[in-house]
Amino acid sequence: MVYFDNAATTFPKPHSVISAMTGALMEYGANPGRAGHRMSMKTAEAVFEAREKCADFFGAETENTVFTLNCTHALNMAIKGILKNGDHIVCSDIEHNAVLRPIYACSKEKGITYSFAQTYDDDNLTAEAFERNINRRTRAVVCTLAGNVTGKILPVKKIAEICRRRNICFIVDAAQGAGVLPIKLADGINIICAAGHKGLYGPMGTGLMITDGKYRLSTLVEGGTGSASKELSQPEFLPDRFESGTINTAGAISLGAGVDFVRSKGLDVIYNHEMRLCRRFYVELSKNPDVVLYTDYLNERYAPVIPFNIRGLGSEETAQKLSSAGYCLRGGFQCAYPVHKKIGTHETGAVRFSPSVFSTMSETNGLIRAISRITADVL
Amino acid sequence: MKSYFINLASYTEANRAARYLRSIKINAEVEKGASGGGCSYGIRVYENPERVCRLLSAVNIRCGKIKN
Repeated sequence: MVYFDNAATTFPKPHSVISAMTGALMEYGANPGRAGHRMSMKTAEAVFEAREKCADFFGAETENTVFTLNCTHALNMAIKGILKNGDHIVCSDIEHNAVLRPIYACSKEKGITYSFAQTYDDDNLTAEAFERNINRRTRAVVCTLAGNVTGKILPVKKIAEICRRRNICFIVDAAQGAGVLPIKLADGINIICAAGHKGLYGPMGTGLMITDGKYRLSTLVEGGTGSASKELSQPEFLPDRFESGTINTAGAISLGAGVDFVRSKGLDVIYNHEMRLCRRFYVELSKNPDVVLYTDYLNERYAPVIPFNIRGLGSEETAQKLSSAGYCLRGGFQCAYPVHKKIGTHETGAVRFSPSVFSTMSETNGLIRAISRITADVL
Repeated sequence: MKSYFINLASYTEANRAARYLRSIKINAEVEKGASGGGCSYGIRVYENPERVCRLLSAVNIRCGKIKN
């Protein structure tokens, strides 16, 4: 099978990540940050090193880098942690359910209100739309770095500047961008939420919440942290405040290896490689009258993700036919229905092409030919 | 050689402290300890602990109790 579903999770993983995972399971068998014996300390040191690598990657302090289960978990911690009864939050109109559902849950449980800022081709208009939606009760702004359906990159630095000026917490969902696009807390972001298993090439079951420490967040989960154990209240200090219970030790250590891998390749190299494949895919598919494309991919700045459909077929049907031809792509709504409404695919969904650093031009050409065969069969 | 155990907030803080001190050629080892609040981690050092704590405070690491 040829894998082009890297926006969901990257595959394959680098050898260094696989070795780190194997090594972690074989060498670091004790619970980190709990006991004082040698095995526990050795494991905890390995986790610390992984945390340090992740922190450095995003320009954060080590202690403000929290390991989570995935990006959704991190976003829930950030959104539910910052919002209090009666607050207001602004998000974009291309958000994933990982942002939308926690906001909706807060609207039901805490009476918070929310607004959608429309996104435009022009970054200035997008930033203005965010500012227009801010009101005196706005406590936070949350947006994706790059949309998971269209790959549209949002102007986070411009939005960050608005938030900084108005003293509003700015949270970025970097699920699709981290490991492909540069992103740092120094961009003016207060909290970055990232998946470990996508562009950072870690294993599934890993994610990160990275904060600049400016805003105190309430906790989603409380419990044992290996610290201040006589106290019934959750520790205030990070990362312990947000890491109750045993962490995914092998996952965290291998995520550290994933971050090393991305750094050694270089973000520019990764982005340019994936974009070269995307441009080829886009140009070839745009010549096929039976394929519908939804983004002006060559004229705007996108992350390496392309949605498309074949006329006369539902997106899941197309994905199924491609699977039978040996290609792994995801159809449907990619957990981001509002984006599909925006691009007009709310009935059918779309098939999503998303390469990784391991994808090749030859595989991309093969996929283009497979799509041509399907369109010929449909006709 | 006389040693001192300096309590710190967490394992992560203890590791940060140990690494920083080693980077300026001060020997420090991470150990588990106990403080008034229960389980905790800290560092064992072989130098004047007040001086060590002053150095740590310059990098925003706050020392807890110091024990012999």
